Amino acid sequence: MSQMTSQIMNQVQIVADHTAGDEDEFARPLTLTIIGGVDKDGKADDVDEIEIPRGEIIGIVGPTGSGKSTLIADIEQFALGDTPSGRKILINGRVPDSELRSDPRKKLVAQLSQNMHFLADMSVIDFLRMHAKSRGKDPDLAEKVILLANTLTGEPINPAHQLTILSGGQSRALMTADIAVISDSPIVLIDEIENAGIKKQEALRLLAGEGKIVVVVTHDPMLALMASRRIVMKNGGMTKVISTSEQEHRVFKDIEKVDGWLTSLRETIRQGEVVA
Amino acid sequence: MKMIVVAGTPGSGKTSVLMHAVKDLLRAGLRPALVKIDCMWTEDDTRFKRLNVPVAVGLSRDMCPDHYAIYNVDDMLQWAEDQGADILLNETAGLCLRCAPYPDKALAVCVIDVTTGPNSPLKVGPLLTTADVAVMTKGDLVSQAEREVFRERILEANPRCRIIEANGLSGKGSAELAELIRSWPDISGEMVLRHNPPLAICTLCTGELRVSKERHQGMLRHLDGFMEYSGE
Repeated sequence: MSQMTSQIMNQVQIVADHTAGDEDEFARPLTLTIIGGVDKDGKADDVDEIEIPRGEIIGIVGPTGSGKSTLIADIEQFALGDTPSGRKILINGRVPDSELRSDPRKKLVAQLSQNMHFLADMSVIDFLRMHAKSRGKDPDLAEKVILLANTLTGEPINPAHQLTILSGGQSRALMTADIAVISDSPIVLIDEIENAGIKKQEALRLLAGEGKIVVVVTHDPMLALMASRRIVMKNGGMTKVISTSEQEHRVFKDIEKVDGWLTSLRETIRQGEVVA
Repeated sequence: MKMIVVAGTPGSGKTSVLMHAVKDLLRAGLRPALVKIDCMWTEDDTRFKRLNVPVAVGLSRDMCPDHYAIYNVDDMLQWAEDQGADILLNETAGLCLRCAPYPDKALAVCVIDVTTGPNSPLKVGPLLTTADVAVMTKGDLVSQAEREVFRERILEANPRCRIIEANGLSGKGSAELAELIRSWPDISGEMVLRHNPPLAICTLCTGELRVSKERHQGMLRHLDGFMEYSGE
């Protein structure tokens, strides 16, 4: 995390400490269990159960149309065998109560989805204040969200602008910061952050925070290898779980260096400078 | 007999949400019958017929569609009973936002499309404010934050309602709706409307709340299309 990002997060923590009524939510152990269902042809998932503990970043990989977003949706809505996949999601080994499924104030899951189009005809600041209210948080957190979002994206977001005029990168940055600050749920689901036009690794580290479960759908080798395990999807089914090996971890370190170099080149070009 | 009235703006997903809920009700061993009310034209009945449940269509034509639905409640209930049903599901035309075609003892369900933006819960009026359940559809097309803001707006308009996030394509939320329908009490005695109708020239428009057929005057259209004038 950059220095500026962590400074803002520290300020956020101060505000959050005064407003959160359920800090103990983070103190308790948490596990997320996916019980297998069926693929698109009704054949049982090869992976019949996977348990994810607090603090793990887990990837979901597979070709387009292989069911990655469906699996994310199953987790987001705490499927009870009532979705087309027939999968079940358990929290701490039990079926979560329906309040946890729907009431945003109790929601355990925050989601950064592929759908980043804002349809709301509201200003950025009004929208964020209302979102904070819906989550039972202090509406003043809205300003922190914008500050944080502006560390992740090139062109700064103006609080008074309408949501509908934000660029793709600005929308993603705003959503990422919103999840880190306002949603602040112990489980974070991320669908394809690499298409975002934002600083992806910084965004993932920010979202992972302390002791969260992060599930990330990705085609990006760096993000996939940042995860400790990855679920492989095919034809709508979960076919296997791969643990990131020592060798893969070394590859990750190399990619990280290359990515850092590419990012700095991109920034040089963006700023209208000449690559040395 | 239980009565469920499903209202909501056109295209909000009423039929798709109901289709999934009907499947859940059938799985639970219940016998739903369905009446689709529309104004000029509908083909929703052909979709419902695929579920092998009794389906009837009522077209209101020149009568106000909400008044038409209310005026024909007795006939719809009788028809459902004749079909051996224990639940009457009435999907309304969902056109006018001035009225709400909800009798007090029926389960009132308002289907509302998230993509219409966070101001729409405030615009929908009595259709939402007097409903027992608000079913949010198309949530998969927007971000989680937007869904949560929308939910907050629904609660501003109707703090007492139960909110179900549903998806007409995947069937998400239908099990929750079916469970609510199952636990809703049977109707009994005389029913009155939850919300006063507008001032105009028909008996409903002049403020009649009682549902029974004999309470109504003016140009009236029956379920089978027969029209009559009743009054002085």
